[in-house]
Amino acid sequence: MSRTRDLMDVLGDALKKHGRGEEALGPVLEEIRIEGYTSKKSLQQVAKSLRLPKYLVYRAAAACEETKPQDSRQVVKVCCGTACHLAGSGAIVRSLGEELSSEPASRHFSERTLETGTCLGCCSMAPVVQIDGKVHGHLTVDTAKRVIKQHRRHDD
Amino acid sequence: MTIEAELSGNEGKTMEALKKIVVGFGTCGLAAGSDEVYSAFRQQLDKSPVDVALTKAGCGGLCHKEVIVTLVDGLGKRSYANVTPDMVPRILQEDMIEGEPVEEWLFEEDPGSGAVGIVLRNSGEINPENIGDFLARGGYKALMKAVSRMNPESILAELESSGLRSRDLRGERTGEELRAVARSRDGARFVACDMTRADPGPSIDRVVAESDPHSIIEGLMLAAYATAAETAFIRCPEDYELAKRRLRLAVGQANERGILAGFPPVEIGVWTQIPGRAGWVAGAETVVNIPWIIGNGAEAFSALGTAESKGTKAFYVAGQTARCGPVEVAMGTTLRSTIFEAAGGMKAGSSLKAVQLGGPEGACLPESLLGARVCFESEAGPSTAASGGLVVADESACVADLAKFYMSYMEQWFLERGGESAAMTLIRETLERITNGEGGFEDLDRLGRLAAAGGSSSTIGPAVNQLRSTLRYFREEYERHVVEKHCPAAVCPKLIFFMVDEKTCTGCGVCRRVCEPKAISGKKREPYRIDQSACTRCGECVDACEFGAVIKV
Repeated sequence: MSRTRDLMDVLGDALKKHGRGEEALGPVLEEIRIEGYTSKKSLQQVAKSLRLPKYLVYRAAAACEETKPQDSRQVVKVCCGTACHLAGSGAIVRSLGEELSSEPASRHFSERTLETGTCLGCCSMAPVVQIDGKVHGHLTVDTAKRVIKQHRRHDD
Repeated sequence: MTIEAELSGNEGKTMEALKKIVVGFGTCGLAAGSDEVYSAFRQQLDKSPVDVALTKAGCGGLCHKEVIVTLVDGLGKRSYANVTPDMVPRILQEDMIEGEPVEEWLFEEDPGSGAVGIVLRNSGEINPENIGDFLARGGYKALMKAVSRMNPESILAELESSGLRSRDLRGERTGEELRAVARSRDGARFVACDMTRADPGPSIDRVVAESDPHSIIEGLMLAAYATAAETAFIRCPEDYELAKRRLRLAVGQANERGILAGFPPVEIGVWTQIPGRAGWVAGAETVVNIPWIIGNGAEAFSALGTAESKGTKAFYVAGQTARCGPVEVAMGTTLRSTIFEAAGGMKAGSSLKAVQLGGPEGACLPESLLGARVCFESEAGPSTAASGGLVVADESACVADLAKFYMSYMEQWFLERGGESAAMTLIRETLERITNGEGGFEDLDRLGRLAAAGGSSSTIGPAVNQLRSTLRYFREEYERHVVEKHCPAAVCPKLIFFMVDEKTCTGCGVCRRVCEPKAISGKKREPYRIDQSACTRCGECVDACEFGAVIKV
C-alpha cells in the first residue's frame, strides 16, 4: 500500500478529530489503516499518542477484520469466566497484556494476540489460559508468564 | 491435537466390547490432556496388541480428577484419576494385562455423585461420538415409542402431567408452552434448543451437549412431533466448538440410521432471525428431560421434586468446592446438601462465603441461605432452579468486585446485541467508584435505586438480579469499601495494602529490585519497608518474595 503521508501527521490529524482515550481508539486505527500503517511499530506509536496500554491497541487492531493479524497462530486467550475471575484471571490479563506488548517486534505486530473469553468449560483448572488451543491451568501471574515464554521457545 | 483431529481420528468403537479402556473426553478432560493420554494408549496398543477396545466418554462429573481413565473387564470397573501419558504403560501392563490394578493411582467413585440421573443419565457413560453407545442405553426409544404408539396430543398430555418447567427464569410449563405452539394457526412453526445465556460462567447445557448430544436431538424431535413443527434448531454459543461438532456428528449418525426420517431437519449454529412466528425455545437441560419423561412416564418424573417444581436440577459446580463438575439433585434438595453432599463440600482450608448461581441474572447468596431449596418457589428465588452454573466462593472473593465483573459483562452483552446499555454503564461506573475507594454512601444509595428500577424495567429486567442480591445480603462488605476504604477480601487493588512481615522477612532485597515505583526500601539482612504513598499495589513484590513475607491486607 502506498503511503503518501507521514505517520505522525496522520496521527496528529486523527487525534484532533477523535481526541484521546479508549473511545478514540477504533476511529484512529481506521484512519492510520487507510493510510497504510498497520505494522506493530505504528500501533506502538498509536498507543503512545493515545496514552493507552499497548495490549489494548493490539487487541483492538486484532478485532478489526482489515487489521487482523495474518498470522493469527498465536492467540493467548485468558478465560474470564466466573470461576477463573474469582481465581484471579483479572491480574493475569493485566500482566500478560504488559508482557505481550513488551515483546520485540516481529514479522507481524500480532505475533501474539491477547484475548479474553467467557468460561472455557474446565473450571477445575481455574484460572486457565489457552494458547493455540492448548489449555494451561492452575496459573498464577508468574506461571502464566512462564507458560508464554515456554511457547515462545517452542516456536523458535 | 485439535478437536478436528480428535474427531477424525475417532475409531468409532462402542463401549460394548468386553474389555475396554475409556478415556474422559469432555472439555474438562481435553483441557487436562486427554488427547495425549489417548494417543499414548493407542501407541502402546499398536506396539503390543491386546484385545481391548480403546474408547472415549463425555464428562463423568469429576472434572477435577481428569484425565480419568476407566478400565472395564472381567474384574469389573475401576478408574484412574489425573492420568498423564507416562502413567499409561504401567496401567496397561500391570492392570489390563497382568490383572493387578495399580493401587496407588486408583480412586473410588464417590457414591454421592450421579445419585439421580435424568439430565446426566448418559454423561460419562457413553461415547458421545458413537450412536451405538447411545442406542445400547435405550436412546431414541422414547422417540420410537412416540411415533409408533402415541399421537401428538398424548405427548402433550404426558408432558403436562409431568410438571416439567423450563430450566430458566421464566420457568414456563413445557407441556403448556408446546400446546400453545401446536394450537397456533401460524404455518411456520419451529422448535429450538438455545444454549445461549447471559452468563460468563460455567453451564450445564454445554456438558449435556458435549457428553450426550443425541438426547438433545431426541428431545427436540419429540417436541417437533408434538407440535407438528416444520423446522428445528440448535443454537450454540460461538465458542462451544466441541459441543457443535458432536451435535453435528450426532445428527449425521442419526440420519444415516434413518432415525430422523420424517422429522424436520435439525440446523445447528447461530441464527439471528427466528424463521417462524410461532415456536418453542428452551435450553438443553429442559430438552433432554423430554425423552426421559416419554420413556419412563410422567409419574416417575413427578415423583421427584416439590409441589411446583418436578424432576431434577443439574448444575455445573465450580469454585472452592472439593469436587468440580456437573452434579444433579432432585428439585427440593437444599443448597447445603447440593454443595456439601453432591459436590463433596468445600476444598480443604476454605470456608463458604457466597454461592453464585448463574451469572448477572442469577443470585449471589450468603451462607445463611444454604437451607433454601433448589426449586422455582425457593426461599432463595427461582434462580436456584433456573441457573446452569453454581460457583462457590470463599473468603477470598469480593462481592463488589464480582458485581462489577458481571455488570461489565452485561454492558458488553447489551452492546453486542444492539440494546440500550446506558443503565449498565451507570451501574458499572458506580461500582468502579466504590471498588476504587472513591465511593460514598450516595453511591450505595444510587446502586440500590438503579438495581430496583432496573429489575422492573423491560430493557434491563433480570440483568440486575445478581447486583440486587449482593446489595441485600452483603451490604456490610460494600459499606467497608465506602467507609473504611478497605476491601476485606483483599481483591480490589486500590483498597488493599502490601506490608512486609518483619518476622518472616530475611532482608534479601528481591522485593526492592522488582518494585518499579521504588516504594520499597531497606538494608540487606534487615526487614524491608513499603512506602504506602508510593506503592502502586501491582503485587509484584508478593509474587517475588520466596518467603511469603510480603502480605496483602
